[in-house]
Amino acid sequence: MKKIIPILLFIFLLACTGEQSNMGDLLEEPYHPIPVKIATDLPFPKMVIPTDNPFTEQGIALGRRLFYDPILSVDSTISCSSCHHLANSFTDKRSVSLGVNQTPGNRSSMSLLNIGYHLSGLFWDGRSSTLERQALIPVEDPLEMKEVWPQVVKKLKEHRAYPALFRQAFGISDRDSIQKELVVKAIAQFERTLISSGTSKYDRVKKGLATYTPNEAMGEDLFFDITADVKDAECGNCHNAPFFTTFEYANNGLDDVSDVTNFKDKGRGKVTGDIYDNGKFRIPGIRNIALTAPYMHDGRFETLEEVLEHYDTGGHPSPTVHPLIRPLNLTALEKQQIIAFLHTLTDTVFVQNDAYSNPF
Amino acid sequence: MKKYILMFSALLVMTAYSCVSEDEDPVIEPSTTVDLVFKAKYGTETAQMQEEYVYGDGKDIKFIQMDFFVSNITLMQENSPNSPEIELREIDFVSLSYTDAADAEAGYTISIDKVPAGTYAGIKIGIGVPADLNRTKPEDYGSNDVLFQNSHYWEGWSSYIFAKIEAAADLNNDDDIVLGGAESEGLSYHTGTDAVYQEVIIPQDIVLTEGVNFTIDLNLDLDQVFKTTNDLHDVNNDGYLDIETFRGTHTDESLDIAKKMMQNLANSITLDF
Repeated sequence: MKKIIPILLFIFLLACTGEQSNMGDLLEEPYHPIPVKIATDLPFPKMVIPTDNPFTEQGIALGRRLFYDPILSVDSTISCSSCHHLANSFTDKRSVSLGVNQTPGNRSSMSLLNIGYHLSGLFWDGRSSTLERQALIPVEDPLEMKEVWPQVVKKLKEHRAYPALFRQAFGISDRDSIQKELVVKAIAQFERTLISSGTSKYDRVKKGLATYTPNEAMGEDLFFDITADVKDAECGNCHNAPFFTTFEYANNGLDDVSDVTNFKDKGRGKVTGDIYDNGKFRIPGIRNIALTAPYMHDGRFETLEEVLEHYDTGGHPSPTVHPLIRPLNLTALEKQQIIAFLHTLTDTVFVQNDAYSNPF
Repeated sequence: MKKYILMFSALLVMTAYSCVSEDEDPVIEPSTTVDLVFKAKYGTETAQMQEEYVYGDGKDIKFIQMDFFVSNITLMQENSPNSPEIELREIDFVSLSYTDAADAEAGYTISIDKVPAGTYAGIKIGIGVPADLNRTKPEDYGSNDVLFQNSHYWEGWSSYIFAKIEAAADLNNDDDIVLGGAESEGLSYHTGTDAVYQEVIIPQDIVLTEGVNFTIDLNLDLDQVFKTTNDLHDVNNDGYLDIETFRGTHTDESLDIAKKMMQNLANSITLDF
């Protein structure tokens, strides 16, 4: 009897905790991850994949589902896709994005096209170094999903489908092993698949499969300053091929600011603490630029014509403006030629790719 | 018969030798770590980005960005053009765009370990991307490779941008340096193409002792970079590039300016340890 009492006491205590052990509850689910290799016929460098988050079919599928699932938000109204629409190259056509309860955010959503190649920081200010770390932030941002991670994890553990999907993607043996780190790994895997299709007119011209119109050809020359006797519109300095970004941060003269500490949105400076980074923002890749209006970090320009006008006038003075932001003296025709070239960057196949669409 | 015995013996010795060689530890040469510390100066002062200096023509100038590729860094074993060399680094990128005084003073360090100890007659450094690598493009490299930087590649030149010096100056002498807007006073000097590649040879005895880290300071002078004796580019005839007229080097037309700046950059480098 003396031996039985401790055992009964243990069972009683276990019952009192009210927690049901799920140890090994997913072991009957199959775990056969299928590795995936990134393939593109474009002259892109090899993408750097974190060694602790290799691509698998199951991981990408889970990430795609999570990307489109409002379960990540506090009231199940907002998903990643709420601010990143496939049809708009994963932007949302708003000057600033809206969070739960239609709360306006601070900045415009950025295109996710070729986002896996970005290694110098994500968000407009580069505050996240990897896609995995980036995906942690919107969930708890009060202007975005306004949720807390323990609650997200709880919802996923209790979900009828997700535990098995996490098992298939990451080999976990029980639902209690679902953690936020696995959620963001899956989303990052999906995001790394968002790569140019290689079928834009620009890409087809480079492959010898298409020919520019005269205006497009002149626009490219102005953009990249290819020939000496054509004016240099200085675009390629920051939007260099093949991604049409140099992955740097720059102040492109959006606001007239006399003191380096007086920027309304300090941008990169708030992250680095260097006042000479104030007013600088990530130079976005502009493939699919015709689909991602409005433009700039605060969406202040509705059209490409407005953007060209801004650069042609040299923008506004402030202490951290890039030295190449200065009057360009472009003619009306030259501006239209540059815009014609920008339209050759439109990748219709990318925005119609079923593999990127809402799986629900 | 003697011949066969000799051949057999030789075979035996060779076999025994090869077996011993496999079992022995590899010979470890005495080595050390060499730190190459690049520092920007403006005359005798440490050059710090965003600080104002006086340009050759008397105008105030502030630098915003200063960086360049270095390549084929080698130690020369003899003081002669055909000296045997120890290669330290094939290609690297030096950024001296420091806005913080302490950072500018500390400079940019390239650390190279396992350099054989010994006495060397000097150091050789390429400024820019050598022709064989300049035939490649950023997309030929992984996105974390030093040559992936497409901010330093220009299609128009089919070349890497070897060096970038971004600056602004009080061009209209109103005691104010303006960036952006209609009155912008930005300056942007980019250099590239095989024709402007420079090789710096600094003959100086360098003694590396096993296990003792060796630091070499390499100072370059931004003031010297803008010097010119070319009448066309020295409109004021003061020995310096006229920055009001030539506000950048980004076209083939200004290639001669780019070449002169690269020569000046190479020549301005002094060694200190």
